[in-house]
Amino acid sequence: MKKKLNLGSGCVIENVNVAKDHFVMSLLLASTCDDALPGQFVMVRKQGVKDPLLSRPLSLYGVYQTEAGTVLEFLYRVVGKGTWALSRLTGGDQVDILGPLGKPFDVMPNRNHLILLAGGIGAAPLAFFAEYLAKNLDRPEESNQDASSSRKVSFYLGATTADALVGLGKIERFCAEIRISTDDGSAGFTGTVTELLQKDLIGLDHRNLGLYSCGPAPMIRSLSRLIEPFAIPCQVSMEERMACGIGACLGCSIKVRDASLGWAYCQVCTEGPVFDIRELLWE
Amino acid sequence: MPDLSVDIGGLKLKNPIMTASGTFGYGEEYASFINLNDLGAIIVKGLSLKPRMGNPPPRIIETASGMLNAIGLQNVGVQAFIEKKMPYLRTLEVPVIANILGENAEEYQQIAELLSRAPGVAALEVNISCPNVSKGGIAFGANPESAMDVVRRVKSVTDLPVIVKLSPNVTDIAMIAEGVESAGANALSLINTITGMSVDIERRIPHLKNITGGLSGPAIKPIALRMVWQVVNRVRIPVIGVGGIMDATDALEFLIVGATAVQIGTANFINPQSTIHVLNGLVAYMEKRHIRDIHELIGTLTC
Repeated sequence: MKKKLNLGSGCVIENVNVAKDHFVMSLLLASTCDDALPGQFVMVRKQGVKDPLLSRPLSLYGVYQTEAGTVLEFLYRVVGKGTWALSRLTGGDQVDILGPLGKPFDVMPNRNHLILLAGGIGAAPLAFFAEYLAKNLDRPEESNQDASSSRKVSFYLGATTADALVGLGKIERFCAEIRISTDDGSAGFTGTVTELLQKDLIGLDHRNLGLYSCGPAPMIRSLSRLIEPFAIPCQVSMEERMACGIGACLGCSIKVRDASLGWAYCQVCTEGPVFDIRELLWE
Repeated sequence: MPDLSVDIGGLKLKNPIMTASGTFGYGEEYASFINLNDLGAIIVKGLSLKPRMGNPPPRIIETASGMLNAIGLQNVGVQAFIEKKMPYLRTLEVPVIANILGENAEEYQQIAELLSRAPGVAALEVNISCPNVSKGGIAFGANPESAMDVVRRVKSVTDLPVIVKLSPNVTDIAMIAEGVESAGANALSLINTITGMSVDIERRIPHLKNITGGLSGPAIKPIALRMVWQVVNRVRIPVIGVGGIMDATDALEFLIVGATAVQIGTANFINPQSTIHVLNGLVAYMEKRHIRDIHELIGTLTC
């Protein structure tokens, strides 16, 4: 039996336009949720409408327990009519929610330099992960690794242009080192964030490194090529269109390695969204 | 509590709420959301003779009040279903209906034979209508002769009630319905998805890798309702209404038009408790109007 899923409603506290096409929405849940982890996602839809019809999968950007109840925070980008409709919600509006869903990021043991590599809106789950790592360092009972007290977390954030660098406020609070890239050079390194990492990797001790990434498919693909020769572990959070979020619609399939068949489709919602980058297959 | 029980071609259901194939996995996916035994029946994901990988992504796209899917009938295959999925389903009290699909008439017959020997399968739903795979059901469902051939072959190897799921992508669905009834079908379910497409105008490519897909959701409900109405007026066997049912009002429309039961499909994706909400709404409607038996509702449309 799977653990109990949080199915119910949430009330919009605020829905702030933080950059062009980017919003941070916080929801107060009708019931408590105390097991949401970075890398997991929640299906969200405006209550009582048939168009847009389907929920949208949003990765968690933050989870807070308050006196009023559990607050979930989402950083999302408007890409279509579903996210556009979500961006129109204001304080007091009701949403249907289902989650948290999917596999979270795993904290890698014996790796004392973690690099979180985000492209664009991919910053959302990784900023939450940075917060999670920083907060757990302060809890001795959970820092079971010898290395955890000296663990360093570097955040690599890339975007097309400086205006599209999102999540920096949270990232700056929780990361020792931040590296920025933009395609047009309007902030930080000029080029992609993977190119920036490639440059930096030369001077780093690979045996200490653990990589986490989330971003557009071309970025994940170039990252997989970049680290192929190295023994650096890497977990990536993948995004696909999905209808149900619970493994029923089979809409969110991606191609992965399969020991007996060579390859197979697997569902991002239930077998991901976090995958070992070396499991993924590209067309 | 009103009497909601119905008879679908020999299969007794305690209520008329079923799950549409392909929207409810193999049942277990929904076990943490509802008590599966509260359902009238579970219809599982369509089964083929061999496992199917399904279509390359993207496989789904939302459209106005609906969605297009081109999953490509991804499924574990009939053998793995019997070995790996049936043991769980047998622990339930709810009748389990296996939806079957073949690439040729012989395959339908083989799958029907295998499932009829597997304990725990209560009925077969024959998918002659899935529009997604080039070698799939479309050829059977599109003309009465090939549809009747499949039904005869399936009937020749099974004693289970045989429900035939009809495609809406035909000129005259009532003619196909009459054909499969005469071939021995015990019940009909309609409609399957309506073939459609959607285009990304930035990249000028189809949203689905498969180019076309099956439209489902509230967008298709008026069409489904019209087709059920046409068919119930032409056949004597029970008809199961399916297409865009989101709530009890939608389900009631199908029952009043003459459907003996309904299937909930896309709504399961939006709220995994949709089936139970529809059931509760149906009971509330009947209680409010002092309707003691669901048959006092079925087919009571006044035109």
